[in-house]
Amino acid sequence: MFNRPIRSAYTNVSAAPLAIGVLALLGATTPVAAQECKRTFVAEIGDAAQSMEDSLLQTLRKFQKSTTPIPREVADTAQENLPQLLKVRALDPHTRHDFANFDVYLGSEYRSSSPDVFVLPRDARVLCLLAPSTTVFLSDGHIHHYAMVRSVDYAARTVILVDPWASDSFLLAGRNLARVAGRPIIVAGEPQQLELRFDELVKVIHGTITGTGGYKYLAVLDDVFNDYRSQESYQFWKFSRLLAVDDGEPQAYAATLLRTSGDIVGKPSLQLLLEYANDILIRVASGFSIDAPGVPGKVSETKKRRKLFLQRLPAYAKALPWVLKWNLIKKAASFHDDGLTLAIIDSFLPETPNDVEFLTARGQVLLRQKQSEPAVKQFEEGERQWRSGLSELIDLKPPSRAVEFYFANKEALVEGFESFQVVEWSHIRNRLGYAAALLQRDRRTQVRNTLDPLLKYKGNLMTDFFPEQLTLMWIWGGPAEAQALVKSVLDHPEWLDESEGLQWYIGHALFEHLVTRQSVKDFVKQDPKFPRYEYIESILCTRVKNEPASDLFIYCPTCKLRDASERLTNDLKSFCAAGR
Amino acid sequence: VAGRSHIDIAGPFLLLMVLFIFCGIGPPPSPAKSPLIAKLITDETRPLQGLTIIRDPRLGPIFPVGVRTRLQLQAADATKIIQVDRIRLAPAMLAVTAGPQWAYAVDPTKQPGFGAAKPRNFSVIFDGDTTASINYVDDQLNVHPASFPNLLPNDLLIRFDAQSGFQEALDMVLMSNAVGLLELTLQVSSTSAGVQYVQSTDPLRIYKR
Repeated sequence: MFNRPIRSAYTNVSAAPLAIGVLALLGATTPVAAQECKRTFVAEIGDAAQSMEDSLLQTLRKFQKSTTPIPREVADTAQENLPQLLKVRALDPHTRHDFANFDVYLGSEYRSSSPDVFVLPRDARVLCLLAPSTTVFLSDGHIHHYAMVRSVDYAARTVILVDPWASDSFLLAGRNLARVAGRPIIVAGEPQQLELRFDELVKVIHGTITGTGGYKYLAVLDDVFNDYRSQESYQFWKFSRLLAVDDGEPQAYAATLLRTSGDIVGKPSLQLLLEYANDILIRVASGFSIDAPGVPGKVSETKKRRKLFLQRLPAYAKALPWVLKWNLIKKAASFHDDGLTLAIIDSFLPETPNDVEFLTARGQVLLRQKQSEPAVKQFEEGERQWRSGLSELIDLKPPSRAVEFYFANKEALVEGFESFQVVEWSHIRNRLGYAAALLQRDRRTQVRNTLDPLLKYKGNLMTDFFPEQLTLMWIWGGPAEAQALVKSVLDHPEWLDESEGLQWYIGHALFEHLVTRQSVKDFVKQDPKFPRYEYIESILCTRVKNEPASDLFIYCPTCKLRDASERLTNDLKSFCAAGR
Repeated sequence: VAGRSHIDIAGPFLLLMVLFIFCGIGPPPSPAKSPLIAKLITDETRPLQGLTIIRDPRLGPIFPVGVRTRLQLQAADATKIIQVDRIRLAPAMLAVTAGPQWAYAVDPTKQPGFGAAKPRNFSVIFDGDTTASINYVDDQLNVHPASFPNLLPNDLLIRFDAQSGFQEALDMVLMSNAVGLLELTLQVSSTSAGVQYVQSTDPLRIYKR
């Protein structure tokens, strides 16, 4: 539950998940100890390291990336940085967000006031924390690059990176300002690789993202950076990354540690984080009827607790990393507490008024509230901000040229830069929402011009934007069209085979649909095959059985949909309990 | 000096001119105008990504850690053949105490990551004002090392004529490993019609803490 699938540093490489969680439990082998390390992450995860390396190579063999030249127009302006990579992972429909990503910049020269940036010193200690599939940010001060660790050899004191640019790498002799002379490993049919000595890597490693190993990684990190353990910024970083996992278990673990540790006294950022943990885990989820674990407040105090929550939002807007803010919006939206969702978004937007995800989420709430005209305007504003954001990513003036350049070179940009993946997803989500809002306002509106350009999407439009399409179909064609969309996806189990993340994503949207809009009984009536689709059990019924969210509206006295959804939820429960 | 007239100063000057004229001695020749224009392009002279320029009221712009720049060489006279002999890097460590406004930090989110080496680019790392390592990466990403203080590798010929063209832009990144303030000028030596010319760029200043 607390591990991540391989997500390549390269784009369009969403990989098969690793069963590292199980493997990590098998126990550590005895790799050669590093001179620099009392303890290494590789030793901590044991045999799993080899499995991770094998899976990484297997995945990369499948998705060999073409190394097209970087367009000059985006060479210095594309946002390829650690916070952006985390955003990609948070928004990627193929990624199950039940693993923690620990992103850290390395180097005393780095400073940032952003809550999305955390910095540790760049020294040999980082060598203790590497493992296969760790993303590394490499820089000589002039050229910057991302690659992934394939293996760490503490005996030979070398690291092998997988890097599609290895043969052209700036880390080859004479091509960099760090005086590093990396050795490319080029074997036909294999992903390109680059070998660096430990001393070379320490010169150029400026950041890492570790998304595997969870608690084991943290244990090693705490040990290796023992001198940082009690620092507020370090603790904020560690706990905020645990809380960013879209899964109750690590969130609860972080909340428990924060709550039980006397360490947070006099540390305002940690106190705020504990409030956030209680908000996302308990207060929002209970419609503010419960205050904290073991503190079941009086229902009469619901309004007061809600008010206090709203008062905290401006502080959250300033202090929390983007993923935590995004998860809070999603949590409130998933409980269909529209007023609360709008209040959260409206508190966050003043800090980041051009955040297209927040703007689009706001449009979706308005759409759900059937405020068609404001929803249309909201999506239009999202589109304006999206275009304006493009002109910051593409170095062309006037901004209209940047937009033209994006559409003319979209495929190469999305393939070459993770930040452009977010750009594309944001735009498609916005356009689908916009079309739905137009149709909700007037069913006769022609939305073809809005939707046609989306057909150029290289991925699977049906699955990757399933929630937005389901909404669109529901508004446009009602139950029949919505059900037709669901049927067409379930009729293609090979689409869902692709990743567990995608199954979770589709399942979540289907669950939402069946507890808020359309009865599962209607589904079965229209399509008797429905109970027997291959993925019904795993994507839908497992969720209904396991997640307290299946009772979501019962806990939410303020939710307008409560009564209607209670009936739909009960139908769904009976359907799943029947075993089909 | 207060009260001293202009005539007092002009007197010896006039005498000198009279001597020049009546003794057949001509005035000293003004240095021949170089047929090559060499200058650093202001718009292309930028700090490293993630850093901002330090503005010092006495010294002007200072680049923390390093600087990216473009040296533009252009033939001023299309009828002449010009050969660039060398581009001498002339660094000097200045004994200046860093002001409080010289504090700098790198914003890591402003360092976009790509990967491949940058073609047609010089990279220079100064270890002080007496040594530096210099490399040029060509179109095919081959590395051509040069020997300090000459920026140009032995196998890189820059010539301006009707066949080779009349303009060349050299992109470079200059970084200092030495703590302190390093002032750098580029001195371009060229030959045309058997006459040697030397031109210096405006100085660049790099500060490393």
